Amino acid sequence: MLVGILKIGHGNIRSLLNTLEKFGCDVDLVSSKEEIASIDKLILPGVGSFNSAMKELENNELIIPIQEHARKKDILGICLGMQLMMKSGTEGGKSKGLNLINGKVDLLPNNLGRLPHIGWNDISSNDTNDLMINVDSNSNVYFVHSYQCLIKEQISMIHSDFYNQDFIAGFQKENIFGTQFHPEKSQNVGDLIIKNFLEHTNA
Amino acid sequence: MLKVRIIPLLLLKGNSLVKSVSFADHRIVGDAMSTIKVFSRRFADEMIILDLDARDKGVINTELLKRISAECNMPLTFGGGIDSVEKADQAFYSGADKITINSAFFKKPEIIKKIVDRYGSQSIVLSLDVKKQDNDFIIYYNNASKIVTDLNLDQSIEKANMLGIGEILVNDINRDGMMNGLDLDLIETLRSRIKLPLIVAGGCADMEDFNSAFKLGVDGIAAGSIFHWIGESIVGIKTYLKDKDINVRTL
Repeated sequence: MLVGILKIGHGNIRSLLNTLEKFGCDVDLVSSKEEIASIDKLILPGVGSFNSAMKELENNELIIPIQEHARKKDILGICLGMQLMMKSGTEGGKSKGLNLINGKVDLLPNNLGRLPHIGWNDISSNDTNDLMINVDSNSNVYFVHSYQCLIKEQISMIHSDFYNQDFIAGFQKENIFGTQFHPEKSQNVGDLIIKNFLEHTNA
Repeated sequence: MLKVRIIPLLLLKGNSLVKSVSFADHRIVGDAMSTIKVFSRRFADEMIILDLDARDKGVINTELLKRISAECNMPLTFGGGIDSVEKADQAFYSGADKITINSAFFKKPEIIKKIVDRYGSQSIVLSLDVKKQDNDFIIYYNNASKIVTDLNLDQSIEKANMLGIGEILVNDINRDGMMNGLDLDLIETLRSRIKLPLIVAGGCADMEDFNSAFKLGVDGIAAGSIFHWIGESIVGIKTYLKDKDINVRTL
């Protein structure tokens, strides 16, 4: 299986590469329409800011290729990558997202606790979610973010809490997956979630 | 609920890990790679690596950092003389999830702004070297050696907020490597003034130190000596803290 990591922005994708290679995947860094068309699964990694990332995708004419991939093949957005899947975002100025999910991205409430939300926190899901297969409820995963996704459609959610207020830690909409946390930095639990994504097949 | 973090803070010199006392007198405590492998298996919540050679010679050993990051199965923070966007790029490209900045924060704030814009606040940690003198807090930089900044604690914090720093790591110079206990008065003061996530380091002597500092509301405690010299285990500390109702991550 060939997994593509979208080459976007700046930041550490080395741990993601290490994790995928541990599971025996062939991994390719993709940055063109042709490369995206050649892969089985696509991962949008998460570093940078919403606005600048979308500009970069637009300048490199990658928005449509990503949307086409997401129509039939598995895609996982991690952290900013998940946020980019929404309809719009506000970080760095209001801008359009990839519009794979009907939702928007906004700052976590800054009156509840310290921002950024950095560290290990529990996740759980009441819905059927293929990322959560064999993952115990209240498992801990690593977060590092200030923005959150506000999703307006009824899809399978993974939840966490920011100073006792619920926020969306991840989701699945058929073949489209997102995690606000970093599975590639979340030790055993993260490995399991990545494995679940890799093993997911479209019925 | 968000968990508190226990963070091994490792000083890299060549291929070795060293440990300082009051920021000087570095002694070798082990081979870098093998020690990092051990911490990766012991349920630490993050790892901070400060590269003394990179700081002193101005060059990041990217090959070593890549090898370290391949072994480190937790978030990795790297610091060592990062004073340009290029060096930040090298650190992140080689596997750092976050970087610490110190001298450049005081000398080249415009560069810090650029790095924050490029990588986001959440990836940038200000490493602040603080010395309590009488009833004042003196901020040092450049290896906490001789250079005193003209900013006091509050001004430094304000500048950090202005530049979009995501997190602050405070090193207590007086207690570094002393293993005579965290300075809880200092920590209480810091917590009341710093609204960002706060990690404290310097002087951890025993498990009760962790308990006291977490009760004061710090987000993370970084330590070196207690792991190197006393061999206190992270799992042991977490078990102790859980019993004290501290919100730690356990297996």
